[in-house]
Amino acid sequence: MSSETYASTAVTTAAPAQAKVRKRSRGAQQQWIWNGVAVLATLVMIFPIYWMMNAAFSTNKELFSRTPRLFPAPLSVESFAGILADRAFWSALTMSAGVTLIVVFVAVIFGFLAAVAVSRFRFRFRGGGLIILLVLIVQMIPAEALFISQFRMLDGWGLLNTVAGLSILYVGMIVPFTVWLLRGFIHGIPAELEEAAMIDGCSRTAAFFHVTLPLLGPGIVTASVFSFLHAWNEYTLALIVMTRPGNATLPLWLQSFSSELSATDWAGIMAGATLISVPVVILFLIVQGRLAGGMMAGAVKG
Amino acid sequence: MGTTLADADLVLNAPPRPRRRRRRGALAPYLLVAPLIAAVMVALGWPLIQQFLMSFQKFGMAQQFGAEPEWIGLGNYIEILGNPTMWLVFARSVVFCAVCASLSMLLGGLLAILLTKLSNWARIMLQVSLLLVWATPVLVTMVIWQWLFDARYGLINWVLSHIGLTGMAGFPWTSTPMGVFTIAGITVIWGSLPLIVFMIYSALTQVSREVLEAAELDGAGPLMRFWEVTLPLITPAIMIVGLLQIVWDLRVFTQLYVLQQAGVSVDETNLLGTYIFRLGIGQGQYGSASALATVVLLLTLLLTWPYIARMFAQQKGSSA
Amino acid sequence: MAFLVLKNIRKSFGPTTVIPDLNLEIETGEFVALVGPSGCGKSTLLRAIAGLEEIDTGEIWIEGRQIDELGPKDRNIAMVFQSYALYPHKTVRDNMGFSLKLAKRPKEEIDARVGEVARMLHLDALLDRKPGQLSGGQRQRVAMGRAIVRRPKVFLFDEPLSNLDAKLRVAMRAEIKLLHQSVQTTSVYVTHDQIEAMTLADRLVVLNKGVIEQQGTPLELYSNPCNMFVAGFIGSPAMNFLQGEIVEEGGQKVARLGGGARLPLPAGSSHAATARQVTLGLRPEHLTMQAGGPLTGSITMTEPTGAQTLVYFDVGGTLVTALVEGDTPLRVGDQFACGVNPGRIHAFDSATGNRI
Repeated sequence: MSSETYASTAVTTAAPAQAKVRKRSRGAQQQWIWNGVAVLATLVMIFPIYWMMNAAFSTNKELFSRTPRLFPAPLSVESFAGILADRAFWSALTMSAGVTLIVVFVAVIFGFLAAVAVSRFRFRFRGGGLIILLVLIVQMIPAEALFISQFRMLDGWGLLNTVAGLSILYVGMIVPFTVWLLRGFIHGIPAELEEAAMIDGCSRTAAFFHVTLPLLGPGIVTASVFSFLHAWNEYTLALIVMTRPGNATLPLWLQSFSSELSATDWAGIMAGATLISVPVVILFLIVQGRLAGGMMAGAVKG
Repeated sequence: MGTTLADADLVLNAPPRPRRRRRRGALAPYLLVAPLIAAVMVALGWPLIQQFLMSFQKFGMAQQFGAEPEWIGLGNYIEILGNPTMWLVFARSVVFCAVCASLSMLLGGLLAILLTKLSNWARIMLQVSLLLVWATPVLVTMVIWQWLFDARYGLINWVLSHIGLTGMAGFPWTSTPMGVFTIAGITVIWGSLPLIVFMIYSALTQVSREVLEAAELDGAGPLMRFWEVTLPLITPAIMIVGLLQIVWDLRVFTQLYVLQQAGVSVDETNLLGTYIFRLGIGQGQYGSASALATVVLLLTLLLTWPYIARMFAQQKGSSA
Repeated sequence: MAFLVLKNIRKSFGPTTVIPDLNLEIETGEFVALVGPSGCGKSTLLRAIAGLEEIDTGEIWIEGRQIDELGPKDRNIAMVFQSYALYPHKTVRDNMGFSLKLAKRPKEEIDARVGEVARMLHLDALLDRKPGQLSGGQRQRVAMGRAIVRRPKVFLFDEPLSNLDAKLRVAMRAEIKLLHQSVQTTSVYVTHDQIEAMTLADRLVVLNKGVIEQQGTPLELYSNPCNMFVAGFIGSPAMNFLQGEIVEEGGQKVARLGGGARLPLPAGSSHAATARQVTLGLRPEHLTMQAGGPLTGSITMTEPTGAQTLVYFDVGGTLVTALVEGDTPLRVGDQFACGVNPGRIHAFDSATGNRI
């Protein structure tokens, strides 16, 4: 901000008036070209999502008319009604909601505790660096490398096809990232605030609850959203753990639904896909400003 | 949470021992990280060890039903490394990964630079669309693109046949290997663009304007400034993202697995991720599958080790 | 027994010992400044008094009660932080009243005390704002207000003015001094700025590498520094140091400097042995222009500040500074000659740095 102001004053004072005007208009022209490119890029990125909703609100008859229509006319909610009448959808929704709730709750709390340890106990805690290393390595290991033994482990414990079994795996995958994320947020809150509270009469724990926790709201929201998205969207581990169709999560349900019906009911499939995305989009609209910041905080600050 | 914090509190307020002051609170951080460690150990650590052990055992269907696994040393490794199918899958994966990772890094980099040049409204618009894409469940992405590439009613074939490629009308994308790899590649790139763009963009915004101005005063043109100042400063971020892309794209699973369900020949489209899955979960050859997974894991670690080591060194440096 | 007593304090971080063994006594109502270069242990010492750092060994007593085993909340002290450490999510009123609220005081009492302090610090109009809406100087006042409202036994200040711009710093310095004169609470003030320390404190404690080099009133330290460290640290512009050797000339001991110039030794150091290596300390403000004076050299640079001008001149290879009237005509390259009152000369042993 300050350097920007500095730059603009430097231009206005140094350049003669005429040159300044010419430069401005050329800059504005360029700006419009860039903005145009951005509109194009946005359309390309967003189009598939639009196309899904377009199909979801159309009838199959229209979809199979050979000439794709850019807008669903007349608007039809027939396919949504079909999905909402499907018992399998509701069962999958319950399953996904259960797993997601557990994962968000547990991952955020575990992540929060560990983040406090690595960012507030740095001097005495020699393992701090190790935790960071662990987080990094876990981020580097994709799920596919481990799923055979994960499958066998849950099988051995009788946790295949259970919410608990899937949640355990999800928590393990996501917790290192929530630690990473929350650690960045806690670092942003000066330790001196807690010290001031301790001098004002709090114990160390109370200082944390009175001062740091209220300021950590955005961080907790961000970590929750990340955990939510992970648990809600994940497919591979669900595929491994939830082997019985009756225990499918939403992505599994969508997959089996679409492979059964892909020749006949594209409108229904798209309606299903839209319904799955709705909670994600709502959540996302609530916190979208923070998401980008959170992604950056976790990723780049280190 | 309640119990753990209460425990920590107890430790903090424990009656002090006269000559050993530094004990106060020394246990708290360990208690605080214990849940993290436990969760990671259960979900990842233990399976990792199991898998490592299994890769040295003859572990197939018989063992699934209770037979004692037999230790065969490097037998599984020798078997998979001597298996031409594995090498084919491996080569295919490397090519797929190279194409996807480089294309997505290139596009992502360009979009990130574009973001720095936009008016406010345009930047927010592009960012929001990227975030929407990023938040879209991968399965939803898959059905959308399958619909777009649908042989008879898909938009892609319709457009292609109307711009002169009449041969493309009704082209069965989802049942030819090249078609499947095309769709998989597009969905992988489309899905990974947001993260790449945001990470590179945030690195770009952290390049100090004053440094760029200094370079301008030194006589560097826009290209020179980018090459000599901006690029070196964002290289660390590019390295991280690039590395993650390579690791992730090397074993693309979900996209390919979903597409394989649609009826294409599995053998002709397997990549490492799906191959391990079919070998292990599908055919019950846990031993060989584990060996292959271990090899891939080692490869990943080898690829990422320089980066991890550097991060670790920085971490040490900053905490000292 | 003094009001605040530090006995045999030792503190180390891992292998680095910050404070080896420190003893300090502070009287009731006294304003003591801990000064020293960065890393000298002054902030650590302050934080140890506050209970934010645990000491390895030693004892801390306040008003006859040993407090070093107590947590910060039980020590009845207040601290003003360098960054102010105001709670960003609380209003000014809640920031100032937080300690009383934690102490479960009745609401009327909290309001009354916060109101009283706010009036004293001219914060009445800002009570419902959050720290983010305040200017730097206002935040500083709130931080002090938060400390005062508590009516603690001791005020601790950790470089409270270093985040303010130069003008505001001088103004706040005066406010702190007035404040201390009116509330008379024992205060420990950490700063690296010796002018701040000298203007504010009843007593200065100069720390270097965790060791007290010297303590005393500002003027004692200024006129009788016990070693070269204190001499160089206290006073601005800094003292000149000139290497020399003690020789006997005409029955009198004088110091012969590198360039051949000779300066008389201060009265107290006539016992020093001949041929001993000494370092003479001369404050720039004590060098007076004097044609044919013992110190001459060509002017390399001048720094006019208005009322006075700082002259840098070269004496036998050593750059010496002198403070002269602002309207003195001076040109770079000219010869500058000055003398000094022997009573103002400080002599130090070159080997140990201690005063002779």
